[in-house]
Amino acid sequence: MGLDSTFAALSDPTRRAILTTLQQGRASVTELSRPHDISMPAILKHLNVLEQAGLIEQKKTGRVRMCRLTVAPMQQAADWLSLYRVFWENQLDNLGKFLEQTDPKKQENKTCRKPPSHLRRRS
Amino acid sequence: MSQAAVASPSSLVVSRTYPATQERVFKAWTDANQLGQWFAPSDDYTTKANVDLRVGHEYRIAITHKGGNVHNVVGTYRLIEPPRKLIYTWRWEGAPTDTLVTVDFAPEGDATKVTITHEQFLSTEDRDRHNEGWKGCVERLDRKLASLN
Repeated sequence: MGLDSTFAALSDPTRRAILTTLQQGRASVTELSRPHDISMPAILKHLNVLEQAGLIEQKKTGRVRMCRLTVAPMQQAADWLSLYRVFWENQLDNLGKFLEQTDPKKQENKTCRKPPSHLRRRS
Repeated sequence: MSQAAVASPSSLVVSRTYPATQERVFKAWTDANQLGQWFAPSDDYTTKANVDLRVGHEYRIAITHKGGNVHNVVGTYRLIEPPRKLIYTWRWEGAPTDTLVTVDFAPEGDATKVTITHEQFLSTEDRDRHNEGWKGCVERLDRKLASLN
């Protein structure tokens, strides 16, 4: 599962609401869109994001598109945990990069060193 | 019924050690300007943080995707012990559930070990449903008692 897709699935309020609704059982796209004041294409986009994150399944029966969670409710807690694990591991990566970039020791080195010639301003 | 499983808080622990002082890491975690520089899931996002670093006061982190979608995290500080420990609530704005984040900053020689514990609680909706269930039981009991009279 890609990092962006898991993060996207976790963070968006509309998608969280859709997942909450689906915890009660299967629902049609029309039913899912009802509580939200957004267009049908927008709802379909949200559903595609959730499907790509592996959280829901969509099935078309005639003219009705039905959705359901792909994970049993019992497994969901574990799934949220694994999504958050990905989220935090990634944040810790970014913190590591930030701390390295702002390391006072390295900053000193930088100011001592002359910039490469192509970066030096021509006078 | 999965109530018991849902009701017990689940938590996850993630840790990492950095070659930096406790003070630097703690500041990176609590200074709004510094948070804004690293607290994003990827380069596709930009972050703006507002922090009122006082117990009982709030923080708010807006994470904006380059496509324009904004994801807000909001929460309240529960414990602040610079530079060792932070506890705060965590909620994606619009989500029904409040969760709890504990961050430990432990010195290890010249390095600092950061340990995040993220705990999930029963959502308010689960709690409401649980209460509804009880209400249903009481109503059924009432009816049963009435039918016996």
